[in-house]
Amino acid sequence: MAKVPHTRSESPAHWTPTRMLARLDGDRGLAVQLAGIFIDEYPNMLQRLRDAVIAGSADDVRRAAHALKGSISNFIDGGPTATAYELETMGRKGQLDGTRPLLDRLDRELIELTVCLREFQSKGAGSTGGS
Amino acid sequence: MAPAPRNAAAQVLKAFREALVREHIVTGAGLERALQHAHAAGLELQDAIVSLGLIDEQTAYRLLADAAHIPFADLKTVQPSALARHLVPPSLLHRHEVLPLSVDDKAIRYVTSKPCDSEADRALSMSTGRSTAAVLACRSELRAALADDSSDPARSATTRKGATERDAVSARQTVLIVDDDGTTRGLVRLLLERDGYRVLEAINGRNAVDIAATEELDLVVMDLLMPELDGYGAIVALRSQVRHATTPIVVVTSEEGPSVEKQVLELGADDYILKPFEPTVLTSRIKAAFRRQRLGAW
Repeated sequence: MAKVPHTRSESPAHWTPTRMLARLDGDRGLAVQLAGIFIDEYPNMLQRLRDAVIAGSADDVRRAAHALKGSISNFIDGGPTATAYELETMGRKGQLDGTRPLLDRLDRELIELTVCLREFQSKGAGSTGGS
Repeated sequence: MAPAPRNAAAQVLKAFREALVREHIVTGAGLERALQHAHAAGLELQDAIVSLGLIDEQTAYRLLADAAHIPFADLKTVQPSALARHLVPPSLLHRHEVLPLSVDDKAIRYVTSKPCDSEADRALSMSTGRSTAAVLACRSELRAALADDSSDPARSATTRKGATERDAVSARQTVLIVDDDGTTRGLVRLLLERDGYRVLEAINGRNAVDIAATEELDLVVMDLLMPELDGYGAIVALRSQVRHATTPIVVVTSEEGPSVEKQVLELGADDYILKPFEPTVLTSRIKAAFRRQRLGAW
């Protein structure tokens, strides 16, 4: 059984680093580096998911969505994590109808999240303020 | 980058081009060809003229340093401070080809082969929380210095001393991270390198088995759901290799439930951690796995 994201309603547009920093023991430098890794990595992971949806391969959708969910969950519990989980569940059940709108939603949510992460990055390791 | 502000990059390049012509290294037409070659090959101008055989690398970088009004570092005298080495992850040094010189509360000085390298500058600043100041060196010297830095016993001893302050056990141990999620791989790498481990990465179970066939591994961090060969299959394959029959395997996954945990432990994994994990929990579990291995409890 896969771990279930906590909430659907959490919006990436209103993301704050509070939870991530708490999880990283307040290590802002580490958080900034992690955000950078995610910003570099997620487009390839999203493309892998998109390719799986286009190919109609339920198992590949499940695996790609699962990996993306794990990646996003480093930053946010709901929003795109929940959307990736929905896609993973659809892949697991072999039900791919309706995956494309979900994929579009995930794309938008990830853009919103990365805008917030870039803003967090731009404040740098030395800043103490949250967004 | 105090000696060569980023917004001065254009002026630096202009002065560099003028110096190339003034020193009769290239004519005006030769400079145009060099620029076209640089653009086509994706090279910096100084590297392009070196690759065209118009100038040796040392001279190219000395002219560039003059153009930037920054000192040319004599790398034979570079003594990276232990604090600087401690603050900057080795992966960052090698990725950006930079070498720390010194650090204080406010600033870090470092050697680079590229003036106005905003990406390296930002990474160093973020890594250390300090402002930065670059010192220019030619690329081949810097690469040699970086290679020496990782193999020189005296400097390695300094690195090990820093690591010892975190964990006396970890300095010479190699950990393989197996995960198709690059963000998780990156996070685990940052955490383990900070504790002094040597870290290798595999993007799926098949890749992990291939690496394990040729590398001495002290511990494996394994995801489960991956393409090509998943974690379940990789655990079985690793356990079938004599050299990895007792190598600790810590499963890190978002596959949740007692049946999953039971299955991976029965296949030969030694521990099981759920994503998203608390970094301190992961590093503590890894240290505990090493302790148990030393005690022969596996």
